[in-house]
This record gives sequence, structure tokens and C-alpha cells, in this order.
Amino acid sequence: MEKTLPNNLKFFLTIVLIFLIGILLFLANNKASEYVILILNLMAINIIFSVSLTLINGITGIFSLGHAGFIAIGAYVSTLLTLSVSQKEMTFLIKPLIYPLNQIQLPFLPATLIAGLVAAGFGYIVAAPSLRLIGDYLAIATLGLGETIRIIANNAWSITNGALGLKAIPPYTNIYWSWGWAFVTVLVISSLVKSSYGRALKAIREDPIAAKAMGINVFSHQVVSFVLGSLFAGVGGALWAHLITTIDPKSFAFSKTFEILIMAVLGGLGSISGAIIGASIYTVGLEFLRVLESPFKIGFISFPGIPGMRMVVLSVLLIVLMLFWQRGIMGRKELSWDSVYALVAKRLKKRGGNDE
Amino acid sequence: MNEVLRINNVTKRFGGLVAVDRFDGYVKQGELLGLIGPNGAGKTTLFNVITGMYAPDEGNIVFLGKDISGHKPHEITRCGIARTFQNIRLFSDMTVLENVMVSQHLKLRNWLWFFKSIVKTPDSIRMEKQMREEGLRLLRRVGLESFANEKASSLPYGLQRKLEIARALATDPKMLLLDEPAAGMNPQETSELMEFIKQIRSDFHLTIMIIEHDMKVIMGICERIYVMDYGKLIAEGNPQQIQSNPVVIKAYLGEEVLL
Amino acid sequence: MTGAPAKGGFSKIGGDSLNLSGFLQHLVNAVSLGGIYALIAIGYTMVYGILRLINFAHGDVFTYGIYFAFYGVVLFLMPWWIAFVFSIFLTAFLGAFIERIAYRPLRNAPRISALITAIGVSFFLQNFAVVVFGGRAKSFNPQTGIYPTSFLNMINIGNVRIPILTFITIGIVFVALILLMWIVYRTKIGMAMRAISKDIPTTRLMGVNADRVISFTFMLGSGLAAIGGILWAMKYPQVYPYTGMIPGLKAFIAAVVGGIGSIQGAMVGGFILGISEIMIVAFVPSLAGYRDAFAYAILLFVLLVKPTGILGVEVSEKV
Repeated sequence: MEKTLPNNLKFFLTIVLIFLIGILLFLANNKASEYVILILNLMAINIIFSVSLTLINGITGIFSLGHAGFIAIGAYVSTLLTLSVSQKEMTFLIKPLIYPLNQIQLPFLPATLIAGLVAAGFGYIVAAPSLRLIGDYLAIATLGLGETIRIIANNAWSITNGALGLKAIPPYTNIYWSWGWAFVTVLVISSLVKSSYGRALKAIREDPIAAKAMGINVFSHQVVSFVLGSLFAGVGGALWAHLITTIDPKSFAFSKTFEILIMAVLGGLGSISGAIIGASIYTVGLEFLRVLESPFKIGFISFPGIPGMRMVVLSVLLIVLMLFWQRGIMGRKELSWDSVYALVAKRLKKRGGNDE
Repeated sequence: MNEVLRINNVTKRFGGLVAVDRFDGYVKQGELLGLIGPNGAGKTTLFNVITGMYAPDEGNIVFLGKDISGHKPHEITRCGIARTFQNIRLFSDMTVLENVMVSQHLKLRNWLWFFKSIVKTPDSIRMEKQMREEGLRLLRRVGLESFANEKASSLPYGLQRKLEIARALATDPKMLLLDEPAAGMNPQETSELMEFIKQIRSDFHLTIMIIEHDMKVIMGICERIYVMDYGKLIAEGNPQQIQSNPVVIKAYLGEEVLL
Repeated sequence: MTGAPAKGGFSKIGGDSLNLSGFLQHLVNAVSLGGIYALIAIGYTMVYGILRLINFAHGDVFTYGIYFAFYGVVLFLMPWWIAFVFSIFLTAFLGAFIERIAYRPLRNAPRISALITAIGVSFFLQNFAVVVFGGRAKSFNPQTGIYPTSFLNMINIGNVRIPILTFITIGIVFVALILLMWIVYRTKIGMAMRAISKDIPTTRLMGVNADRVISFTFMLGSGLAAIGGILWAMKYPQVYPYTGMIPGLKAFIAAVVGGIGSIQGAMVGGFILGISEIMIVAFVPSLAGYRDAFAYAILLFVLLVKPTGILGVEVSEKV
């Protein structure tokens, strides 16, 4: 029989863990270099992206490839709300920004919230027709919708400034915003997954027909999952825009979705903790892979940096993962205090023998 | 006579094929009704029409005085018709208990519950606890309690069939449709299943409709039998009448003699 | 990843496009573009018909077809026509190689895994091209000696001037399509392909080597993609690592619109997409920036009206 820990203890441990992470982030924010802080921010934002994608693709089993589109919406909406009126005038040279937007300036929090809500709204509009399709058709339709959002961003000069994109975005995103939102995302989505609704979503993934026969409104549950995933993709997009401070339609090409897919697959498609682990490893790993694109020396021979090499390695990584390690790090399992405890207990038992 | 379900002149076509052809029938309260016929006779299609998987092309279906034809499957399940599938359709990557708990999800009819379960309000925690307890109670009643935390796909075949029935029961149905529950079972398992079906009928006050190829099951537990062939209802009666009905013997068993 | 350059390599159309000669010009242009989409779409549809896999890498195989032809002429100094034929065969082998390495091991895996792998292969091919061929676009222009400049000579029909290349394109597309139909419907291997798309295990029992037939299917599809790629590069005279992405996506959409799994459907879908794209841009020039989005609009429309595509067979899910 597996041992489980009492609920209050788990709650206490969770609080302690969050507190510890908070202290670490506080220290990092004050002591670490700008580069490390940037990576930590990216890590949090990637966690938001991969957890929200996991909700849609891994938990509900909707194979959506449109995530980049919702990130784009979040990024553009929030930026249009936080840029100052004079900045907007200076940026929109080819065509002026349309009326209400050119007069508004909002603080970061409401801008992020609105960005998430608008992305969710788009998610709702998009979900209704696409979810009538199944499997591969859905994948290609969502891919198309994501690309369409990018094409619109490229052409709607009076809203997005077209191909020139938006520049000099205020760098509001800091450790507290990014990790705060990452925390909220993980909390909301994992709370949902653990509830009856989460079971219903997993049931839809396993067998939509049986799920229907058990009284689940498959369509509306899929829509809700898609909308919630889009919402957090939008929030993440807002944070991302205010971190990198320059966005243009190219930033939201399909390769963005591809990156997030790698994170989720690496962690194990179908596991929230896997998505977190996958996003963290990916963010840090990508930085280490920079070595590949910078000049290096072996013995007397020096090699020039090869641009594009990182993506080659990443795509090979994805293929190898799929061929030999489909379940990723976590599979569909979740990391919990019980599983940690079981692991530790096993270790102790091995070492001590009579420690029971 | 207290009628639970009435099937009025139902027709279902697939392209040129008429899978169910002007089927007329009824099911009485508390009855155990058998539905038999050769392969491809349209039995499963009839189940699919009743449970809303397909809309009938003609005719209608009345359940407890309400016309349910054309309703969505989940709506029909909420009205009180639950089913199992010919080819087992469990949520295989989920645990036995979770499988049963999924069926209780229909209790949360209001989307307010959605926000409540994210925020974990006290009543949503209570609801979750109640679902778990009821799920366990149901598993105990069908004898699957010791497997509660096993993956559904890890159960032996016979128990998977049983779990499918338990999962259907968890929707709190008034009527249960069983699609070949004895398929692939050995004689020992089959007789246990027969006992089990009779047991749940009285325990849960169910009306049961059952498709089965194993004549021992049909003749052993059904009170009344419908025979289908080429989508049509060709005979009706109690087991003795069906066994001696020449039309049935000819259509269903060729020239051989039954049993 | 920008779309195809709005200005075509030939058939420059100016001013008033509503007269008859203008329309004729657009039509010829549209048919040649549609034909190229059809050639690529067939590769998608054949693979999907057999393996139920969206071969995401197909658009990049198309790109490699152009690169092979380009380097055949520029680096290996082959005469242009030898280089083009050489490229078609090399691309065919590339397609079969991808199937062997990346898809065959996953044939019995969940379809999601195969789909993700295909996306991975697509990204690998694109970025490998960045590393090996360089990220900058290479000119595929007759002025640089890739193929004879005489292809750009104009033919006058009435007062319409259309370059020979457009007719060559249309001619090659039709020859390739007829050849394909002959292979699929008149040869033994074609029969095996059709059988396998219905039921792999049964076809195996009939003594057909399924792996070989699947390899052949990939070769056929990739070879057609190479033909389409070379024609595309002559029309929009350049090649860069992401060249195949947009035409590949559109061709896939063409395959879905026509009814995925159906070769005739892919042809129909290809022409529908090509013609509607050119015509909409020609008659509503203000929408030109959205030309890459039309395909998605058509896709959504068709999927919602008839989810299996125009010539697709209705398969209701078995309960």
C-alpha cells in the first residue's frame, strides 16, 4: 500500500516551497546579473506558455497548433495599451493608430488582464468552428488560424503598425510580474485539472464518444479548455512583449508554437509538472546551446559560429524524443508531495534497511 | 403497463443502407429486454439512435413521456439513459475510481461550479469528497473496490466489462443499455455476469435493454425479446416463444435448430 | 517567413485588369499556379491516404528540390535539364529517406507522436538548410544562367503577351499528372498503393511488401514536389530555406479542400486554390497583403460545409 501524507502537511510544504522560491527570486532580482534575470523572466513566461498549451493539447487532447496566434494577440493588445500617446504617434508613421486606442494609456496590470481577456475572446470565436473538426483537421485549422492572426498583424497597419512592428515597449516585465503570473497560471490550471472538470477533460482526451455517453458536454468542455489556454497564452504574450520590448509579426510565426510544443513534449504531454520542468530545461538549455552558434576552437583549428545550428539541434532533439522517449520526463504523471515522499522513502529504505 | 421507453417507427440510413428500418417497440418499467439478431442486423445502430449518437432519419423516441429524438448524447444521458459499448470504451489511462467519478460530473450542471472548482470553495471541496465517496461505494457494490487506484487498462478483460457497467451506473440512470456485455467471456464469467445484471436491476431499480449473441444469457435472464434482421423487427416474445418461432430460426440461425 | 513575393517572375499585369485580355492573362497565370499547388498537394494526399499522417516536411522537401536543381547547375555545372531531372530523383530519395528514418519507427505509435515528429523533421530541414545553404535567398533567375533566358520570351495571343514559361509550366504539370494517374491506375505498384490505402494488414497478407510500397509512395510524392518546386522557383525566381513553407501549407490545404486521400481531389483543390488566389488578388488588389490568408478562409469554409472535402468520402466514426 502506498503511503500518503496528511493534507495539512502537504499544504504546509507547498507554502514553504513557494516561500523558498520567492526568497530565491528576491535574491536573484537583487544580486544576479541582468542576463540571469532575463533568463529567469523567460523561464517564467515559457512556463506560462507550455502549461497553457498542455491544458489544451495534453489534458484535453485538442491538438492545437495556433498558440503563437494567441500569444501575438496578447502581446499586441497589451502593448497598444501601455505605450504612451506620444510614443504611438511617433511609431505609427505609415498609418495612424485607430481612434480609441491612440488616446489610451493603461498601467501594466490592467493591460495584461485585458490582453488575456481579448486572447480568450478570440479563442472563443476560433474554438467554435474549429472544434467541429477532429484530429488532424483540427491541427491544420488551428495552425491556419494562428498564421492568419500573424498575417492580419502584418497587414492591419492602423492597428499593429504592420511589418514594422512595435518598438520601445516599456520594459515593465520583471521577476515579480513574470513569476507571479506563472504562479497564477500553474495554480489555476492545476486546480482545474485536479477537479471534476479536469477528469472530464481527460475523459474527453481518452475517448470523446464514451465521454459523451457519460453525460459530458464534450464540445463546451473543449471550448472552455481552449479559451482558458488562450487566456494564459495572451497573458504570457503581454509579459513577453514587455520583456523583449520589440515585437513584429515575425516574432509570432509558427516556430513560436513549435518551441512551446518542444517544451511540453520534453516534459511529457499531459502533465502540468512536466510542462513546468520542460519549459525550465528548455529555457536554460537554449542558452547553453548558444555555444553552437558562437565561434569556438578545437586544438589549433577555430570554427566560425554557425547561425541556425541551435534550431537544428532542437529539431533533432524533438525527433529523437519522439522516436525513443515519447512520454517525456513525466509522461502523464504529476509531481506531488506523495510521489516525492515515496521516492525519498525508497531511497532511505535502500540505504538504512531497517528504517521503517 | 408502465412504459419507460417507446420507439416509434424509427428509421436510420447510412447512404443507401437502411440500418434500422421502421422499428417500433417499447420497454416496460423494470423489464429486462433482449435485443438479438444476426451480425449487421442494426442492433447497435438502434442503441446509438436511442442514446443520441445518431439522430433518427424518421420516427421518434419517447423516454418517460419526453421526446428525446435528436437530443445530444450527453443530454440523453442526463435524462437517465446510460450505456456500455460493444468494444470496451474505458478511459484507459485513468484509474478505476476516476472512471466512475467521470460519470458523476453531470451533477455539476451549472458553469458556476467551474469557477468554484478552480477557487476550491468549501462546497466544491464537499462536492468532490462526495463524488469520491459515492464512487468508492459504487465500486464496493460491484466488487471492484480493491482495484480503485489501478489503471483501468490494467484490469483483466472481464473486470473491464464490469467497470464499464459500473461507470454507466454512476450516471444514476433509470435505464441501462448493455451492448454485448458477455462478449469474450468464458462460461464461468458469463454466469457471474448474468447474476450481476439481475442483481443491479433490483438494487438500482433499473430497466435494462441488452444486446447479446450468447443465447444462454438472453434466454436465461430476459423476460422479453426483440429479434431484428436487416434493420427490421421480425419477432417479439418471451424466450420460449422466440425459441420456437420458425421465422426467427430461419432468419437468425439459418436452418439449424436452436441450442 | 514572408509569403511569396507579390510580384510574379513574369506575367506582369498593370492597370486595368477588368478587360478580357487582362482576364485571360490572369487565368493562364492562375492555372499555372494552381498546377504547382496540385503537384505538391498530391504528395500530401498520397501519404495521408496510406499512413493517415500529415507530412509536415513535404513543403521543405519541395524547397530541397529547388536547392538540388540550383546547386546542380551552379556548383556541379550540369546542363540545366540534367540538373533538373537529377534534382527530381534526388528529392524522391530524400522523401523516402525521411520516411525510413523518422516515420517508419512510429507507424504503430499514437498519431500525435507521428505528427509531432513530422513537425520536427520540417524544422530540421529548414534549419539544416540555413546552416548548409545559408539563410540568404539565392537567385533562381535565367540571367544568372540557371535555365535558358528564352523561356521568358513572350508569345502574343491577340493583344495578350504571355511568356513561354507559363505554357511550359502548364504543359509539364499536365504531363506529370497524366503520368501519375497512369502509375496509380495502370501499374502493379499503383494497384498496391491503392490497396494499401484501404487496408495495410490485408494487403500484406496478399504478399505485398508494404514497406516498399510506402517508400515508393514517398518517392513519387517527393519527386512531384521537386517538379513543383523547380516550376515555382522559375515563377518566383529565388530560393531560401523557408521557400516551401507557404506553398507547402497551401498545397496541404488544397489536399484537404479537395478531400484528403483522394488524388483527383488534390488536383481539384490545387486548381481551386491557385485560381481563387490569383483572381482575388487581381480583382480586389487592396487585399493583396492577405493573399496567404485566403487559403485558410477557403479551408475553414470547406471544412465547415463538408468536413471531408469536395471529393472526400464520408466516414462516420464508428461507435
